Amino acid sequence: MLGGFCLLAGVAGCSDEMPTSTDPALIPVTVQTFEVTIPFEDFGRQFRVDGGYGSPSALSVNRIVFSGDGGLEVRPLLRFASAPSSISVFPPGESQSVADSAAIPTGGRVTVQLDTVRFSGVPPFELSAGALNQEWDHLSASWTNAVDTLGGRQPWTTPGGGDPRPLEQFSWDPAEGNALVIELDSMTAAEWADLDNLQRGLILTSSTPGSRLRISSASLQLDLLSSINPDTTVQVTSPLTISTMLLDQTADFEDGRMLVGGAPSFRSTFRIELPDSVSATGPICAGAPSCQVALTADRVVFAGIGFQSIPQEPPSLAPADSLVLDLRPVLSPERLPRSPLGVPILPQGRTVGPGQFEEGGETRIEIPVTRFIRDLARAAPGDAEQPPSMVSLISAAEPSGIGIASFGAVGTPQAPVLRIILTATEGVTLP
Amino acid sequence: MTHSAIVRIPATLAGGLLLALVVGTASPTPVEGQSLLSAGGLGFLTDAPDARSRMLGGVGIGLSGSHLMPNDPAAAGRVGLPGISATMEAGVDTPDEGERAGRTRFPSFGLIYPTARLTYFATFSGFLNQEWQATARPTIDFGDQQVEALDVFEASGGISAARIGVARAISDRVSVGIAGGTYLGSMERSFRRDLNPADVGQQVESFVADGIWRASGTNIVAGVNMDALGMLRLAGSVTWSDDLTLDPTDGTPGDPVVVPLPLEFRVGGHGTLAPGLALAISLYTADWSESAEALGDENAPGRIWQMGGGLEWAGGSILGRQIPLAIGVRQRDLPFSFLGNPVQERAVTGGAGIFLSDTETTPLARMHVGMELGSRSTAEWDESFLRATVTLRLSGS
Repeated sequence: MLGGFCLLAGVAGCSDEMPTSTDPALIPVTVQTFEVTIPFEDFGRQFRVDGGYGSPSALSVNRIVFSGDGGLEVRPLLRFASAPSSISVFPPGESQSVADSAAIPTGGRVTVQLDTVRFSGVPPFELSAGALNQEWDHLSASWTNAVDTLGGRQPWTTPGGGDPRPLEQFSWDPAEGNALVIELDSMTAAEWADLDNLQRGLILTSSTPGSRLRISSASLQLDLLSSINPDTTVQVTSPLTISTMLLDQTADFEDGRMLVGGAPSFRSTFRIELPDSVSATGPICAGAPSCQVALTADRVVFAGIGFQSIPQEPPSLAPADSLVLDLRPVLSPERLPRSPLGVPILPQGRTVGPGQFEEGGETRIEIPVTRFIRDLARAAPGDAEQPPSMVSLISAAEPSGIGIASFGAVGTPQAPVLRIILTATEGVTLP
Repeated sequence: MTHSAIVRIPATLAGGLLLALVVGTASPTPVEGQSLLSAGGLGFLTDAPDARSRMLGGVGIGLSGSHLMPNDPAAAGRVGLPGISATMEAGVDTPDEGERAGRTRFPSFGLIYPTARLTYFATFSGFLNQEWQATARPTIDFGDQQVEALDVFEASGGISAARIGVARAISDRVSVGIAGGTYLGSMERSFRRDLNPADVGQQVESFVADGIWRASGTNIVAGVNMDALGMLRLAGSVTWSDDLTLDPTDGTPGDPVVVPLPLEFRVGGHGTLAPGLALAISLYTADWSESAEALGDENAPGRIWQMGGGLEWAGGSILGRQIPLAIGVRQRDLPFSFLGNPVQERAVTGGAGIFLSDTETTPLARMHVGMELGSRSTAEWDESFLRATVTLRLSGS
């Protein structure tokens, strides 16, 4: 009797202990898991590529001098802080300094530090520096426009930075040093010391094909002649405050090619239209060599869209660094190309390396879209609220670099495919 | 009972036992695991739904005294006061190979209300139940890739009989009773397959297929109960059931499953062998072949038997309260096969009761605790089990 009480007390308080067998013969369910690959023409619709997202000025590394192989030209624009409103000088014969707010710029120099490790091309590199002579806006400046704001578009007099006033020319070899010093005349110094002068800026150009150089830092040193003591010249340093790049992308991309990235960035967008059924073989066909299995949400256990990376042409347009791809739902397709996008379908994105866009580096990059596909398969045509069916393949940061990632063109064997793993059963039954 | 036969148990032990009982019965735990052998058909038939029958190895019929038994409706005809009875059981099953599983459940609940001529009652008792799962780790071939998977199949559920009835003592020695009602409850099945994310990739979802079937069906139990020679109680009952219908619900596809149920016979007796010592014997039989056939079980035993018996000694006491003790044995067939093999269950039983409050002729508060230590065996599977059952009966005017 005591044992009975103790057993009751013990078992009544224990957690679930389901008797479990590892004998598959006890599982009375016929189940089949199989994989289908659906070509783009069977699920992709309304494919489009849009560009112009983001500004090069938003790039964390936006100071690149690039002279491509005909496909890309990049010129950095640098703007420095203006001169201080006053300098401190000693009047003649006095030992107490006073503020001089009327100092006169008489000259100066820009020191540009170039990265001697990360560069492309064959040295020496032929570089030229010039002073911009058109007003420009770093947030909207492009190869063709100095200012491209709403209602205030102002094209460069010559695409690619107008007609800058030449300052200096160099033949730079990284083995000989990392600094370029550009001397400024009094007129240029006076212009760049003026806070209200919206023209002030330095443009760097490379004329060596295939060169790709990074500016690691730059600063301006102005010589200011005191108006109180003409014997005194004060040197003040102005840091780099604004930088952007002008990019000339002249490549003609293959029609239907999926493009992602660049500065500004490209996006590739298409609508997914699932077939009602997929072809299957095996036990689920009940003896038939093949059969059609309805594509229902509960059967989809995995779905992924595979994008085939292809070498960029010309190679100078290929990404130079890793790129994070995002696939995001298009929330208002009717507002494309300015539709808002939903959260990434794969939250952490998919990182691809630059090698995958080089010759011989072609890879199929799969982005899982299981929940997205299940939502699509679950939606009935008459439902008041339909889940998004359009997706955009974008770079996680726009822009993330000047390189453009290319994926197999629609209508070619390299076009995207939708891989779905389904599990199907006739259902559980009694007993 | 002679006064000299009473065994006196120390008061401290009695208090501890009562405390242990409170702890054990105060946790309203849901139904947990059960034997894997319940995988056959619709599972196990619920044993005798009260502790006194179990401690005597019985099938729940033909015991002395006045009480409410779901399968012995005539016994209610001798009850003189309104009352309730409730039973709880807890047990563990230990397979020869595999992990131990525990469970708790409430096999029966009853309410009784006697009037001048008739006694009305309602019972809710277990009928069929099962709780088990099976797992497998298949490797799926995608041609260019092998993917590991984990399959889990779970079967659970219970079917109970809810009845209302009436009983009458037609003489000092004979009473009759009848009760009718419906089957309630459900059977659930669930299958889940998970692919290994390391083989497939991120965002792999589980595949789940499940179903719930609600039980319904009419059932009637009728019985007779008679005393003979002043020292013998004999009883018999027969249970008729309409087809058990299991309707798919909650989106479960398919047609209703209709399972014909057999006519069930129970007989039992309780006779005094010597002052304070009695022998109880009972038997159950039914032909489950049509039920098994309807569920695709071709190897079920068909007609099954349960028989058992035990000795009851009304000799002990705690704090002046009578403590009957019992020991017995029983054996039964299960109605469905396990992997094509019939299953037999054997047990040694025992237990004790405590008469907390009795009038001179009518019990007011009684509790019984039954213990069973047994085994189940088939060609494919062997296991042992230990089960405790507590029944509390309360009456009052």
